[in-house]
Amino acid sequence: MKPDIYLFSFIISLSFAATILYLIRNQKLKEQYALLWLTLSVMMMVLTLFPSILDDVARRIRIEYAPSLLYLLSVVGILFILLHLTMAVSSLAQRNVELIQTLALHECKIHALMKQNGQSEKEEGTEGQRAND
Amino acid sequence: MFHHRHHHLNHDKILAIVPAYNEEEGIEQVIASLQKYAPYADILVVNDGSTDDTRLLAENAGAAVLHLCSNLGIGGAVQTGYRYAAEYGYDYAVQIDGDGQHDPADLAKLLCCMRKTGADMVVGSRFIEKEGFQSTFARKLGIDLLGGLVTRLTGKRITDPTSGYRLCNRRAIALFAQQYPTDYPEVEALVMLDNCQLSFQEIPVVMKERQGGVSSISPLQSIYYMCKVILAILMMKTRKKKMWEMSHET
Repeated sequence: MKPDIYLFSFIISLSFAATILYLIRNQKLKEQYALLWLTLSVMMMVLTLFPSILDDVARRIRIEYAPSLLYLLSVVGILFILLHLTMAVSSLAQRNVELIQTLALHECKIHALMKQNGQSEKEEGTEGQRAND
Repeated sequence: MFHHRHHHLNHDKILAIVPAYNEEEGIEQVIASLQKYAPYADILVVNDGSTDDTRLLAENAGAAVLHLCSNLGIGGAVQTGYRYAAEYGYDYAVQIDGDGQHDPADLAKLLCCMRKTGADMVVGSRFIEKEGFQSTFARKLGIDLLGGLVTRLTGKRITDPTSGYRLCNRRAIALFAQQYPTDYPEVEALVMLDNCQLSFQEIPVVMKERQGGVSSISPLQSIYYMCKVILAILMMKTRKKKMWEMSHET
């Protein structure tokens, strides 16, 4: 019964890694964010292939119930990924503000230029008329 | 954009920045009273992604209008105005709310104070002489708390830290054009100035109750803003004081 569960978890983590690679390939996931996820899936695979690592480490740092070390590690991993995402969102928000502001300033400049242009064309027009007169 | 440029004494260029989000009821009146009581200032309405006719009304009233294609909130809108002021070389920029709370007639007082004291920013406070519209009880409590905190952090007495009626000189304009807090920015801006060793000064003004529209802040939001602002200014205080250099200015 036991080996089956490990095989099952291995298949899950393998398909997780495959999904991430697929997303990178289709450019739906930027490499900078994908790296974290890839590391996580590789770690998952290693642990499912050699579950004894977990037991060893747990014994060494005196955790009696080995799976709780797994929970601890996964929670910490997820926290870091979430933090990374929040940082990305903050930076995106800041850039978005700058972008919208710059757009508005340029739009205003274009309007002024167009107005100036229209006026100078009009002036040229009246001068031309005067020359004709 | 280049029209109605009147020059004040000493030929200083003055820009009035009017941030407006869905202010179609009051915006015309604000522009008209600016034109009447502060004819020496150019008017720039920053339309913060309004969904009503604010932009059209402001353009028709003869103001230059910057149109933000989506809503940035007061800080983002005001900063756009400062970026405009920096780009077009204004000597002074004054923030005036688009809802008619601030009286453009007081602008002369702010200018006078700035020239006399040489402060980098002059803030109009409604709590020095306690005239005109004050505030609701809960809001005043929050304002006093923030004011006390800013006073303690900067060592300068501040009675109305949330007042959006403020006049900036070139140095402050250049700083704000480069960095400005996004939402509920007034309190943070004070500590930011102090961090960059720029000075500010409060003078009494009389404020009115808003003319139209609704206040943008609900009670729950004000609690969030209080926490956000307190966190922001405390963190800002932990950063090193750094002399602000107008390096990008020629």
